[in-house]
Amino acid sequence: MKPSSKDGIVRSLRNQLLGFFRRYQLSDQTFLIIVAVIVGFLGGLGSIFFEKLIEFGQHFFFEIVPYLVGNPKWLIILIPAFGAIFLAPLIYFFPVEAKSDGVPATMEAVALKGGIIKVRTFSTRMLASAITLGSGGSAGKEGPIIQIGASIGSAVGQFFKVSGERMRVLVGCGAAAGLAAIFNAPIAGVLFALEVVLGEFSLHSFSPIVISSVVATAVSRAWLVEGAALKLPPYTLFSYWEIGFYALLGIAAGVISVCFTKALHRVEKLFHRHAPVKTHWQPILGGLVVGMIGFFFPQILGCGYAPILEAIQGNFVWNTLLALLVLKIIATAFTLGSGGSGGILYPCLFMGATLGGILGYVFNLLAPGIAPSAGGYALVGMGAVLGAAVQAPMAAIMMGFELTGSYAVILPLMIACVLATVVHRRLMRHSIYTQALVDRGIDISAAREMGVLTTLTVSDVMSREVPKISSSLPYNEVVQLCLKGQGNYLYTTDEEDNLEGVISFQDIKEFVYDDQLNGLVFARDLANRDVVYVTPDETLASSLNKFSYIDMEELPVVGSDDGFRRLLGIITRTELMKIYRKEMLKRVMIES
Amino acid sequence: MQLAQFLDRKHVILDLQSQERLACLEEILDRIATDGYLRNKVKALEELLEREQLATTGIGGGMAIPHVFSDEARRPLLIMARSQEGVAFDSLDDKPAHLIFVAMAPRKDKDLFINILYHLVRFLKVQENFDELMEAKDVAEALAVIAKAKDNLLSEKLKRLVKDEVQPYRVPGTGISG
Repeated sequence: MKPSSKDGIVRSLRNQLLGFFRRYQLSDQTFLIIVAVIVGFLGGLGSIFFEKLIEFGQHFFFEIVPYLVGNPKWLIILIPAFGAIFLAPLIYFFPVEAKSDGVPATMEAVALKGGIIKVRTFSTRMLASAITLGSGGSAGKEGPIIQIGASIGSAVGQFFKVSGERMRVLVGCGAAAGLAAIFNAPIAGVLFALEVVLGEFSLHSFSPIVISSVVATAVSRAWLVEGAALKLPPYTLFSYWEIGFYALLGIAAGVISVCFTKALHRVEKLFHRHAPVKTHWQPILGGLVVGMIGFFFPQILGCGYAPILEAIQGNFVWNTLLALLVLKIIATAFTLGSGGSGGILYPCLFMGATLGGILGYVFNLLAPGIAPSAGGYALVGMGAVLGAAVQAPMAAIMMGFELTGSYAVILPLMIACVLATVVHRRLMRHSIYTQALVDRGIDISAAREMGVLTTLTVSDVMSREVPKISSSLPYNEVVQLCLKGQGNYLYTTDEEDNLEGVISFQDIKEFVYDDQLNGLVFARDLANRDVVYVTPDETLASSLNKFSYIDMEELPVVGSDDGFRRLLGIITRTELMKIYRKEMLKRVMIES
Repeated sequence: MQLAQFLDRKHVILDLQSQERLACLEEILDRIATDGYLRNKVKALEELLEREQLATTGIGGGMAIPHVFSDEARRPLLIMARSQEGVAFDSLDDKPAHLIFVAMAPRKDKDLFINILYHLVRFLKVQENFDELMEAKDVAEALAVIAKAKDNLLSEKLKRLVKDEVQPYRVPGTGISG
């Protein structure tokens, strides 16, 4: 199809849909919710397709290829490296989209790029992750699907030409849809999108994200084989004394999460600085390391939930669990650090389950009466390591709750997740995601701070009550107004309400009590003509910038679109800072 | 920085002939030398007249202070004109104006200019000063009277603003340095 005709179809479809929305006079929120349904549906389909693609990859690398070469036992060492060969061209042509985890890139797009994600991210990430995961790379499919969903949300948003805040919400919708569909955990999807991807909780974004998450889960439940996602046995808390053990588990999980984050970071650096081959060949080296580990412990390969289930059911002895825990950290660090494509959510769950299994065994030895089985610890450990590594305790708690479907798990989960998050935070400043961004020179919290100021515009905070006077007002009356008025400034306007200048009380206070100038001087003579002003659709970031170089407590807001300088209102530094602090407080409360 | 610094000896006219408001402004501008102070006398006059159209600057008590912000002025300046007969200035008290001080300054010197006007009015409203100016026999005497205005025109804030822009210079004929 020619690009022109394709563009024509897209445009006419958009116009028809927008015309439909207009005809029924839909509010902003309703529009967002309808679009959220679309994003959720597409996100659900995307996750089914992704799942199938990974299955095909596994079938190809672990069944077809071994069959062709005659099923030698040692072949498993080479499979991850063999898969990485297919990854090379993808990394070569799309280095940004194909490598490592997709979540930090999504966070960056939301915080810095107004939610715009390239459409090709969708296909590139899907293919790259299917290759890495299908060939046994040690990583998860959750990170990629979050980015795939987010890119769907962004593409839908770009199709409808939405901008600013609404685009971010749609990206959040897509991320939630992806995670919810693949995990079969809609609440966790919502919380993850809010806590990690958007970095804020607001009612405005909450409803569309919930809708999108629900639709995506429904779609995936309808088409995917039920039970494909991780299904955990119900859980019961035996004794309330166990809470103490769970607290210890939480602390250990925090430490493990830091170890994992550091390991990933180190291996990434190692490849970056000392790798003997070019970037696009590096996953082959990583794949060899993973393959060698997988030869002895095939459980660490790929992204299947089976080993986690076995750990929870207590099918491993403690030394196997310990080996799996350490080797999973190493294998994942090498898969992702070398440039393989995959997420860290599943490895975190794996580490949490093995760690919980070990500690559960130890606690059972110490106090068999209080801690009778290790299964519960494995389960809670999953949530704790995950919550700590991504610094999103709420999403982790809900995920554990949803995966087990039993309310009894909530107490141990809450204590362990929160403690793990705090311990991680104590030991290192960044989560596994923000660390990845910091490595690339992006401080996400600073970006989000600026984000507050770039999403709000002057018209959101300006005051429409302006102390304005005519330019031809005589001196005495100007002084009277200055003395009576609340503010320190008076704005002078011409007959048509256009801003001419500003009189600062500071400038005239020296001769305010004298009437020598009466009859001689008018408002226009007292006014400063070089007025720095802002326009209603300017962002707060840009206003703050203007405040920083001019010594005024307020700036006039001027509608300058039609060639006039019509005075609309004022924006004060105090008000600006108040709103800024309010928004920041919300975010700080979420992050700490 | 004092009032006298803005009044050049070449800007003192003690025998103004015109007796009508707008014509006298024309005469004043016509009779002064411009060197270094004004860019274009014709334009400056236009601007003065324009300002005068808005409202009279005859503030009563026998004086008028026609003034305007004009970028034709290179720096704040005063022109003194004296008319023994008086000029019909549509003054607030309907009396003729005998002392006419034309004041001009570029826009950027707004604060300083307002200060000059303020101190000028205050100075002239003292009857003794007014009388001495009316009786001055020559330019030097008139300048000496103005030099009595000792108030510093620069407030703390203005000092900061003006310091770099206006070079102190000796006021011609008075022996006062700024």
